[in-house]
Amino acid sequence: MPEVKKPLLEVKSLTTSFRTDRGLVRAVDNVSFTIDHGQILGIVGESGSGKSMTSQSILRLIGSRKSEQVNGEVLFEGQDLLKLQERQMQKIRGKEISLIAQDPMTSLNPVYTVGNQIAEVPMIHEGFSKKNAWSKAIEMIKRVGIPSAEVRAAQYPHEFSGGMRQRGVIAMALAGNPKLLIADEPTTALDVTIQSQILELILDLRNETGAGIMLITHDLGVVAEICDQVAVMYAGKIVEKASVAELFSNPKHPYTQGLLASLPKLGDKTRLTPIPGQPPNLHHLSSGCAFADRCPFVMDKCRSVQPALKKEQTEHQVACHLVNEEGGDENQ
Amino acid sequence: MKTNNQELVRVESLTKHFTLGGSFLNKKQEIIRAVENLSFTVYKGETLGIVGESGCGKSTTGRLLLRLMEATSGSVYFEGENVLEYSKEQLRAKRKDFQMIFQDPYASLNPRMTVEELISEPLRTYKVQNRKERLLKLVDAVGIPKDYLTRYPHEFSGGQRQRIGIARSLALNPKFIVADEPVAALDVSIQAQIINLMKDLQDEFDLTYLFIAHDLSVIEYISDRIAVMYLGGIVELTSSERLYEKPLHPYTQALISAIPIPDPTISRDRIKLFGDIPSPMNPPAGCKFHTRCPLAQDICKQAIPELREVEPEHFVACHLVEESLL
Repeated sequence: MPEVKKPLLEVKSLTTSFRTDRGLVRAVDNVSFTIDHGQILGIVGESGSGKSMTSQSILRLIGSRKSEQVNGEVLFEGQDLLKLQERQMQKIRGKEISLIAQDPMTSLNPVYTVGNQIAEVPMIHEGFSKKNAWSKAIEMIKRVGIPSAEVRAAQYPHEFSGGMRQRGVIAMALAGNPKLLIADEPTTALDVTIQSQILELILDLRNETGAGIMLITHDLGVVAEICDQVAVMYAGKIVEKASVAELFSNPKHPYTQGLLASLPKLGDKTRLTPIPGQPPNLHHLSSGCAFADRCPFVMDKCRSVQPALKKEQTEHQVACHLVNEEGGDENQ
Repeated sequence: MKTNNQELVRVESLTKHFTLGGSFLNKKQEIIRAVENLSFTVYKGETLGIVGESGCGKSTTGRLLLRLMEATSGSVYFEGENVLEYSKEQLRAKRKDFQMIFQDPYASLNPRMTVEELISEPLRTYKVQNRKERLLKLVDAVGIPKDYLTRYPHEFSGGQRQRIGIARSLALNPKFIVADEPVAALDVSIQAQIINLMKDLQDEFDLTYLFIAHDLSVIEYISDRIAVMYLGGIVELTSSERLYEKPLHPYTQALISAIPIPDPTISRDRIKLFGDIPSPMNPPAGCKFHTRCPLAQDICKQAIPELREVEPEHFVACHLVEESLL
């Protein structure tokens, strides 16, 4: 390409820390990544790895209290969101960047009809009249595949099933025509046949609107299914980043390898290979690699020096001393 | 398969209806048919998996079997005796033979008791001799270090708590264990530890499992035979190999094709199911799956299909199963 296009979202050295009774906790530690228009980036990790904290820091849902601190840069179309006033941020949330949260029951207000909650978006952000906003809401409800949209719009969240509620939340998230969609475990609360419907809907919408999507999940199956790029998080850091095809065929970080090996595979009854030990406690992280205690290839260096996320091949980055040292010889 | 086809538990026409409403404020009474006319056998030494989506009645089934909940009708034979007819005293004496492992290791342990107290509580209740010895054997079997005995549940991670919960259910040397989503609340890297542990314990203590889960990859891995449930009834029951190789019920077929596989090189033809799961308060007439079934015909809307053995050890409840067999 002759012109260097700015990425949709560029996160640089994002660090989120909390002051607690037991000391400072770094929930997100020096995280950097980019998302382009129309791209789906998967962020995988186990509970406490910092994946949801990353998305909440981007949306500035944390960082306003004295005990919370968010540092680094979050460049959305070149503009640093962390430097904006709360007022300006409100114009971006729901309009430019929307969030689909995990539990559709808690992200819908039980005392307003679903149609009302969707109509609110164009009323606030685009100054639609009540009537126009209502027809927009019905259009959105149709678009996410809910039948008899006119009737459904006038119903309350409790009258919807789980899968339908999540469609409602997606309709609300899309009503402002966002350029970036953050989906935080969008299908975790849903059954598998409904999950595949919702994933398909997310893919269709990406193709239609060209929005960039950040998909947070613990499910490697979901990542393989719909993501283009993937970042693996462990103890607040990105430990590996690659295209989906590359990560699954050639995982380099021992944690990623361990995760993939610990999954039961259909038709294979050989003994599972779990990752030994327990997830780290963010209160007592050592100065070295956070995965060192569970790593089968641990070296002396790993216990004292933190490995940096290095470009190993152009698109495949790994934060591991073992890989980074061997990297040169391995690639001839 | 580990089974020698010696029956341990036999369930016959088990039914559970919940009544909703009928109170002062809500006069209209409604019946939720959580489990209806369920029949199956669990063989000694096997793991029978029950899989299905939320609200299909799988957890209710597990609880009914252990009488943590009273059935509306039907029988549950454990070693030939009908558990549902036991008196309170008989049940108390027999309880040590069948135990449960719960889903949420955070909610199932008393936060004010130490590990030692938690695990030895059932031993004290049943006045078991040599309690300390048994306690040490149990914590060793589930992989909890001995010096953790004086600690409280909040000091442990999810995986370790599940180990404590498992030690507790094994304390009285049970023969039959109902495990209700034992790994659903755990992280992926820990899930495999607990699944391996449960398999080891099964060999070591001669256990029979009823393993309830919604995760199809997990259930396929751990089970010898699998029952697939939909809206309170079993739609298909066979060995786990056969179920994944050749599922015959359209619902099982859709379910298996919907599993997200962690391998981007595999692309599959997905069987799409439209619509949502109907409410068990008002289930469809005939085959309960007909509202979402891609093959549904007139007969499916009228007659309830029976669970039939369509090939050896392969039971299916579908009017059109002969077509899938071709």
